[in-house]
Amino acid sequence: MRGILRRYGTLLALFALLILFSVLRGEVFFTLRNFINITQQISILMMVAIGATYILAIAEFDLSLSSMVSFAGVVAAGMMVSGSHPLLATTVALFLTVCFGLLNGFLVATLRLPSFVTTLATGTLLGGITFWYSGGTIIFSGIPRSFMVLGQGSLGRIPLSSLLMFALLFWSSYLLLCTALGKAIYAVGGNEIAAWYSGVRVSRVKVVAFFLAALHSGLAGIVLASRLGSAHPTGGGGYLMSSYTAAFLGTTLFREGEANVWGTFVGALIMGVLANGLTILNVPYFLQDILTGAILVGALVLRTSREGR
Amino acid sequence: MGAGQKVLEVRYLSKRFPGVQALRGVSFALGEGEVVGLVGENGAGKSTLVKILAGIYRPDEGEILVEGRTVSFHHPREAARCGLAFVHQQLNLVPFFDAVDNVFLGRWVSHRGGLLDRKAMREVVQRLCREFGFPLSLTTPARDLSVSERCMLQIIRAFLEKPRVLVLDEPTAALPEEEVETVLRMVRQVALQGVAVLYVSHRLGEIFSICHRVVVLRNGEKVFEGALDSLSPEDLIAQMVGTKRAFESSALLFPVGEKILEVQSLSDGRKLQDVSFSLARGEILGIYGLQGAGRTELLEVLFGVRRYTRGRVFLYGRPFAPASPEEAIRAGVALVPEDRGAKGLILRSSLFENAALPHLQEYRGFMGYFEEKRFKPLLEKVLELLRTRYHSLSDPVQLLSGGNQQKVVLAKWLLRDFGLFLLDEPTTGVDVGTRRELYRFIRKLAQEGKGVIVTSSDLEEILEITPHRVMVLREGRVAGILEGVEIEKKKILQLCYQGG
Repeated sequence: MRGILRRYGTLLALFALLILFSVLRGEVFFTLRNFINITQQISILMMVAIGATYILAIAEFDLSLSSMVSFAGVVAAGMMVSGSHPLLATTVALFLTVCFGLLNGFLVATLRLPSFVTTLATGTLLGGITFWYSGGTIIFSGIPRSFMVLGQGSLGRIPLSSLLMFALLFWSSYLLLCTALGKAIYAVGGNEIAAWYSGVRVSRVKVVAFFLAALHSGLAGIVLASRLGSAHPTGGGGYLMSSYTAAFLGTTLFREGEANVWGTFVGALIMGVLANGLTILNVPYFLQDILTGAILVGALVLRTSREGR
Repeated sequence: MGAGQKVLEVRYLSKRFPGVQALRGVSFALGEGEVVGLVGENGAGKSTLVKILAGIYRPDEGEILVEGRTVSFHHPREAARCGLAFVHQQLNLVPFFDAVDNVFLGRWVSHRGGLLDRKAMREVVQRLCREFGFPLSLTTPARDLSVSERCMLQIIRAFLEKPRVLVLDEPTAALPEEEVETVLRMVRQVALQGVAVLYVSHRLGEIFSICHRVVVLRNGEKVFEGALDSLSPEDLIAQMVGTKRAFESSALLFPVGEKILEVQSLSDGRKLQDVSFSLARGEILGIYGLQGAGRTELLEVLFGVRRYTRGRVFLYGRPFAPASPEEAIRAGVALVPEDRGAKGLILRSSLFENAALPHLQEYRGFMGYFEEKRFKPLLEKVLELLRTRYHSLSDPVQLLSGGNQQKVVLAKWLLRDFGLFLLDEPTTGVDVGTRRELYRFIRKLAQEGKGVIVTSSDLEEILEITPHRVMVLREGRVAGILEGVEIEKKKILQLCYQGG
């Protein structure tokens, strides 16, 4: 029993929440429509969290994720306001964001700077650029309706942003678990030196991880701007902590102690279900943070007690 | 060399570990102001003895007397309280603290309000420096001190508690040649203060230079004790090795093929200087040397971990200068590194993931898919060939025993056709039975026409592997290469301690 709790504690927490909210307000909470809602509500968070998962899998940090979210949205919105086609604006915004991710990768992997401080610096720098480009204000008038399809539209009953999230989830899962690149990523995260002694191109793998993190953050930024129909220079700010929270919750599941996208998905679901259920119950918002934090601490304590044996 | 009254005496010390009698009834004594050398091969029992004195191990039998009183230690602090001080190989200093802070580490003297009394501490250190004549800067952070200065720091730290006995365990192992003399001078000054010194070292020159007497251990027993004036270095080596067990020559019967590796006056600008040797197909080359002789460095140069700055290397007749392990691997070179946990394995990853790492490109299929189905049967076959015991390929390797972990490291390189195997201390932390298996396997590799270079700090092991040739390294240089019937214990040790 204790073993199960240790191994699947985080998953059990998710089920406990589902049952709790179903008992309290099942007629609103436990409906297909609400579940679809939840997937849409967590879609942006999950995209950033997938990016964070790649970074945690190579045992580094990227604190510029949220800056990249804001940056991608502002660049896309700004270009559209200046008359660019939405497709062009999106492509350019994503391209610039991944270039920035490559810069992070270059600094950390090639120049061997410590990732925590480096990405804190580059994130600050990118935040400044975003402010400068946007003029410090929210960009909203002049964004074409067609751009908002991605964030607001749906295919049948499923929102497009949820579909995109699931596509990225499955793709990342395949990439991390089934491919040579995925094995190299986990090897670098597990023991960089041993990986290098085994012929893994450590720097290249790290650069790829930073690239993928930037790509996912950029996509999240586009979806965010599309859903809101506007872009704010600090719009992505909230996603840094919450994406790492989801990813760290995920490290307590499946591949124990290692970041993995399905664990991250469970982590994001916990946060999403909490937010959704508490809103339905009309409970003050801060309780969500308190519970999320408590679940994460609990999961970590359980895992550590296991390692101590 | 007046040895005054007995300061430290050990009587009939014995210590048994599972499978080994590490010490067997060892007795000797140290007098006031006397410097006694403790020598013996690896595994002779030197470090067990030092650890018993330090209170890290408890002896099974025997007693320790300090100034005539029987003492027993259960903890390193108690050894210090009884007047024993130690300078270990690893220098435990905080790199950005200066001398005063390091000397008083954990024992800071403070004013009543809790404020540190730096003045009082500084005066103590200054006084000790003066007494010993150590020219030590008190304000320089430890990381900017030379190795011998750090050693001074440790001695001063040891002398805070006014010890009667100072034990130096290989204090010069990590020291550049020019700093050794400084340390020896320090030791002499310490002895002049009336402290008894036990000096453990592999370097016989130092033993002869500063010790009054020497105690020789072999297989856990004291085989010799006596003054050094009447002894020659050859006698001392003979005592260490034992004359009865002269090894028969151990040349292999099968012949070697054409040259695959040629190294010409290679230097790496740091450790290795002017190293030349060659290796043929089907040949086993043993490399022996003391700690810090450059064994690991040499293999790492050949594996692309470090670069060489001078000299030339040819692999299969073509110039070879790998810039990374990846390049070396592509050229067919495999390395089993010495430090398995740090360099050889990703401990929390599975057997399968560890073994797959050098082959990720070979088994890449459509969309980067790693072709597990093609890879796994081969891996299972190789693991079986090595008789590896494991439950499942997806178990983390940290669950395996040391011997089985090493087999996984080896298996990693047997999944493709590598031509040159570099094995750096391949039996570290491996039990005796598995060692034998590994030796047999090394011979089998050679029989299959691979070139094998194997290093070891254990002389018996080198001989048991039965290499075609043995190269002895000494302080980064080739002290000599022995071949066929020349390979015997005494010759190897002579090269190793005295040079060519």
